[in-house]
Amino acid sequence: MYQLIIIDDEEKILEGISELFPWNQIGFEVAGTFTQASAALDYMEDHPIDVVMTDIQMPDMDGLELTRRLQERELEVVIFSSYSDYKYMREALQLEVSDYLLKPVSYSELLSTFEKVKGRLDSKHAVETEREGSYYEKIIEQSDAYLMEHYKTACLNDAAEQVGISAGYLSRIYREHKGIGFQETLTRIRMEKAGEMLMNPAYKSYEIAFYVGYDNPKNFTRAFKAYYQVTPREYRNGMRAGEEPK
Amino acid sequence: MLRKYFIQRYKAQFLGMIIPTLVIFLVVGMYVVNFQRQSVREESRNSLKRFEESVDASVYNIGNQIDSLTANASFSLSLKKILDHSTMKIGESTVFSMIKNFFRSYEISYSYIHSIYLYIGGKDRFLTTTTGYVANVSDYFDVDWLQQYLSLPEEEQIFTCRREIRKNSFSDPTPVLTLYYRLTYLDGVIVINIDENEYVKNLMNFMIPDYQMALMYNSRDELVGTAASGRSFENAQMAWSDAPDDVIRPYIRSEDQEKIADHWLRIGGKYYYVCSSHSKYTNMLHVSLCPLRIILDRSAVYIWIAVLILALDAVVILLMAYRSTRSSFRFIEQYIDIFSAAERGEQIEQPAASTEDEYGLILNNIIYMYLRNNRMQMELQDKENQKIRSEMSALQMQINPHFIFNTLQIMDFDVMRELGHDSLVHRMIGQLSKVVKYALTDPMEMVTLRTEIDYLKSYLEIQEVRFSGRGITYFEIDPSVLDLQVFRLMLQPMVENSFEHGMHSDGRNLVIKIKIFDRGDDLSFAVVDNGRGMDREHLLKLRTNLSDPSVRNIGLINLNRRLQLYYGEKSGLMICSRKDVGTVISFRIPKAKLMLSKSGRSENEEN
Repeated sequence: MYQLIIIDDEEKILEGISELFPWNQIGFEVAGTFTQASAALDYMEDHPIDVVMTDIQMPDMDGLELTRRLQERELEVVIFSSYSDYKYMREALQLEVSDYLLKPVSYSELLSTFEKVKGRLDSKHAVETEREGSYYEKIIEQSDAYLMEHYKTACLNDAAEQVGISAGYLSRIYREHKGIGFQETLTRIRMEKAGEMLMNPAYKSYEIAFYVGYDNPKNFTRAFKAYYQVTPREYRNGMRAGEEPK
Repeated sequence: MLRKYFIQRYKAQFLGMIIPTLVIFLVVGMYVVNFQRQSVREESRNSLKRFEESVDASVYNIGNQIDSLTANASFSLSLKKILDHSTMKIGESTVFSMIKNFFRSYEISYSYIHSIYLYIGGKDRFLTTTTGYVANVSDYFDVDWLQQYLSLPEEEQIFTCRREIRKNSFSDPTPVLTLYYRLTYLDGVIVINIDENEYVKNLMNFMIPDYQMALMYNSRDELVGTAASGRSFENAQMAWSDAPDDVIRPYIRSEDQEKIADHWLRIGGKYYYVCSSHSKYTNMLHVSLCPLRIILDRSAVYIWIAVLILALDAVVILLMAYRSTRSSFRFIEQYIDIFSAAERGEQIEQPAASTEDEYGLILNNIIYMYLRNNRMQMELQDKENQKIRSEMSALQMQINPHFIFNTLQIMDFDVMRELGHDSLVHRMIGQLSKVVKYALTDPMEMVTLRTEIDYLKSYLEIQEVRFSGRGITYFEIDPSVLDLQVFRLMLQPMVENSFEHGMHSDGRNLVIKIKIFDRGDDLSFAVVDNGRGMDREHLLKLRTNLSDPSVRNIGLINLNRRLQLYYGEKSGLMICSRKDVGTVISFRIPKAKLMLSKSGRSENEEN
């Protein structure tokens, strides 16, 4: 477990971030949270820390100043701020921070950022993580269940959030442990759903496309044809005539 | 427009040219008429003079010669003897043959002479150029001459009258002008009969061809002869048979005789130049008439030339006016184009300088500078306005964006804690955060179409929740356009319009199609919906509002202004709508004005 401290002058946010993210699951342990940068510096004097996640604007010392003081130590620093100012970003880049997140921070952004941070730390410490097969099965099962319900809006980021890992990692798990890619799985679910909806004459084809998550009916038709080898219209007419679709 | 300018210009130029031309024509015309009058006068007088001279000459030659011979006593005696006896002695026959020679030479010299008689008072016989030179008074075919002579008063030296001679009862009478020349030394007379027809023919040679009439009056003011040359009198002679005579007669022998000596007179409704001369020798008055028409006829060529020149003038002016109107109109149109382009806020190119026209060059530069200034001011104003607007919106909120972002963050955490990651509220907070972040970023910063569409999808997801899934949206977008750079919030106002004004009240689905196509030189954008649409009145009002700079804070109007500012007037919004059918809002952007995204940074993955 890598040691992480979080600094933000708002306690509620500190609380939310430290509690609501599955830090342990992605390989981090929140060693402490601070509302003041100076307190964090004090703490770091006698505690080994791997990652610092800090807000920029704070009353006593701002996040950039803190980062500057931490430059000698080999630390990963993640900035999260509600400032999208170029000035701050540039300074942060010059201080070679790991990432710069904008509030409100989305779950998936945070996950993918820390996935990368972990990757860098792992390679630095030459660590190989090994997990049991059942771990992956559980993740795939959870993700699939999510997709079955939210096929319209679902995307890799959302699914990753649901299972508490980063998008890239989830994609890899699908490829390596399910044998079918994430996107393909989602498409299958959508096509099955579309097939069902086509049997209901109340829906128009473009409505079905929309409801199963396509922003363009042509793309839907193309995907449908690729999946069923017939167009949605043929599929619907074939069913009406009492024939089994392929 | 062109037509109006042309007519105005033509009028002005025509008047400008025609007035001096007319003045010149008038002056020249007056001179010509005057000259013609003078020449008519001159010619009339000359011909009258020659005319008179010819009569005088013949009378003088014949009368005077014979008269002077009778001064010789032996000649008179011989003459009397010749007339008394039928037989002649040597001397007498010499005289007789002399007279015969005279007579013959007169007949040869003056072809118009009909006959000459020599009569001695009291004799039964007289000499004549006809029938054997000696004839009896009593049995001669011409009889009235003697009575005429005898009735003449003693003091009448020369008398003229008009008679007719009939050679025999079955031949036509010949009109003659008879001159009685009373002998000075003897009691007798020389009668000269002039064949009027022949004489008139002879006179024609002296007269102004076609235009002159001559009248001859004897000592008793009787009209003894008329001669008219040509067509202007052929009919006139019939029409005013003796009208000239009637008009002239009162002047003769009166105190007003001067008036016919050299004057223009009105006869039978027409003007004539009248001149006259009194021959003392023959005691006759010769009057010449010349119609005013001669001046007109002689000036006809001149008038035709004038008319032709005028017509030519008119045509030339017409062509000139047309040409100059065309060229100046092109000039005006060019400037109208430039000005309206400037008004629309398009980039103005410096007009091509025509080096031929220095004024045009100066004008071009002035206009160009003026327009460029204007445009720069406009742009400055626009930027200022935008700045004010963004400051305004921040002020209106009176809220630090920090506050919003932190609040959203905390709400999100709370929802996640209470409802898990799977809840609709968590999802909506996530999308709302994206929308607010995107909207509060510097509006001048450009984004790729991919980013803009990605943001739009977050926005659409919130709208979908708001309208319980009754809004169906889909995209038809050429993949090649996704990396092109556009300004933020380009698509959202149009889609928002569809949602706010298009949603059906009867529960039907609203279908919104967002189309972006690459059309070669242009990118075409369209948002099409099957919503409630607008009636004509609303549509017209919206279209008017689009170009009204005073209307603010309406998404579409703001969008229209930004499109025109960034991409030119032609990229403004086009709105079509029909009540209960739907609305199409579209615009085009020239690809030349778009910058290709340099970074092409990876975006959130697509569906």
